[in-house]
Amino acid sequence: MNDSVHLVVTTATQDRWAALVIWYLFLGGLGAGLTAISVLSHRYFKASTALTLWGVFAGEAAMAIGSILLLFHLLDPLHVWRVLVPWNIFLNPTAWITWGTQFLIWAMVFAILYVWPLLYRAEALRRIPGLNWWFEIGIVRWSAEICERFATLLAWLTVILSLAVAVYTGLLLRSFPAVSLWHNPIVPALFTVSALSTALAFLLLVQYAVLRDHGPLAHAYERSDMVLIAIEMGLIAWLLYGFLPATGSGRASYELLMGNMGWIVGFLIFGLAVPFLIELVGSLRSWHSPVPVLAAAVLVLIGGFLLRHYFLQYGVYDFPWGNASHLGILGSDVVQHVIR
Amino acid sequence: MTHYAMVINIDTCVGCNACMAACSQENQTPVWDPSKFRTYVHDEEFQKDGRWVRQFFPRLCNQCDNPPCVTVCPTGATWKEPSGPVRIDPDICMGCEACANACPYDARYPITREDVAKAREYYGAEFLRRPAAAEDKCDFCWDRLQRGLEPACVETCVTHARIFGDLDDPNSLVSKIVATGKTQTLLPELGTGPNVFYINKLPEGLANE
Repeated sequence: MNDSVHLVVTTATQDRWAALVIWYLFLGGLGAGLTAISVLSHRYFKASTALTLWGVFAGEAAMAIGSILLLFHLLDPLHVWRVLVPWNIFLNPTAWITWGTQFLIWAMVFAILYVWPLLYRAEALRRIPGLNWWFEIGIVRWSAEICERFATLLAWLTVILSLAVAVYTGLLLRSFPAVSLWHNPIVPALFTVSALSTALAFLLLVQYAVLRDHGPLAHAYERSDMVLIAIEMGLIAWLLYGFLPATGSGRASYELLMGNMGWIVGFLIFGLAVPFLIELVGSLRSWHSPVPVLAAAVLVLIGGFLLRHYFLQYGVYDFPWGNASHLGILGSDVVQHVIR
Repeated sequence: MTHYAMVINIDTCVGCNACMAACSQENQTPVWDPSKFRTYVHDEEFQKDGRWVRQFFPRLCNQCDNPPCVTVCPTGATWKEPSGPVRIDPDICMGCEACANACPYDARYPITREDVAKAREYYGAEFLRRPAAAEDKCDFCWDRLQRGLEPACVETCVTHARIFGDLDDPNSLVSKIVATGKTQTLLPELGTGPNVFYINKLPEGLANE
């Protein structure tokens, strides 16, 4: 025997972060995309009040539900207050969760402040019995006027912080160095593009199915979504063929992904290619029926969830010891022994 | 300055798992769950140069110089001591498990509220040292180090497969072994700077120290 230690390699998928975190990443990205696009569209692209309120409140709900789900994932949820306090960015600035939590909280706050004057002036709310007097309280009227005066500032704060939330969901995964599928510069861009794409899909659903108001803005959303899906496909190809082949962990993730029909058929074909083609045809010659646009939007949303699902499920560790999974240390979808 | 490190001599480990037993009792780990030990001894069989080899491979937290688990912690519940060990304060940890995902060595595991309740029965309420649900990991038996003792796994190892000491002391056995240049660390390409070194066989001059 020679002098070096013989290292046996076990390749194992992680199962620490499962359904709750997958939903958090999906809803966080979707919600952040919704607040960013809705506020931007209202400020600069003449989006209707109804669409803006739908977008912002759906975004708020998505981010809130995602965060609540994450609480159930924690071993001790009572200690979460430490990441909620704003000064945590000075205490633990190296952790992306620190920044992401603050981005998320303040994006939610500024988005609400931005739409507060819209709510204040909404006739429907004033018609609710017993609520009208509330709008006449001095401080309520004053707060709406202040928010209206600083609307542009609030809009940009919402947009920047919401985009930061979307980027953060990718940066979080990127901070885990042993998993090649996560630890690369593509992931933050991919998750951001996917977040915006799912948000546009959700807004298209609202425009076509709920408000039944699909003017030029809806068409702009369709075209933007088409471009985002094209970018997403490019990023996926770059990741699969540019980064994953470089390491054992990456090759194992590649084999798992490309050997899974859910990834290929569910995500690549029905989550990306089919909605892209539907929106491409729609941009060349408009659809006469809303059904194709609605179908594309639903597929994009399902695809956005599947992307995060497979990313977490097939994050692979390359442990330099044998039988890593025999005690149930980690999940073991693939176990291969290689002598170095 | 002290710089604690461990050398693992693969040559002499016989896979008795006494280190796992000593560690679990010293640190009150959830022994009812086999996926929750601070240290493991992996029983490996592989073919090398045409013959089958059986090897016992102990592993534990590498107490990295550049620990990725510490930088991802959003609560400050885990930190690196100036003398080397990476520790966790269970009263601060919220248990997001980002640190466990960041660790390339699978050195961290969750202690759930169910584990704490079970530990209260198993180890006895009056002796329970870990009343909070939190992430857990090896810290080179920090409490024992404060009393001038070696980690429990080192003290109990009957074949001296685990050698513990101060890397900043050139006369310590770990320093001498590492200075031979024959040791290796796990996944050095990730830049974590592990402080657990592996050697296939101790050099002749050091085997009897």
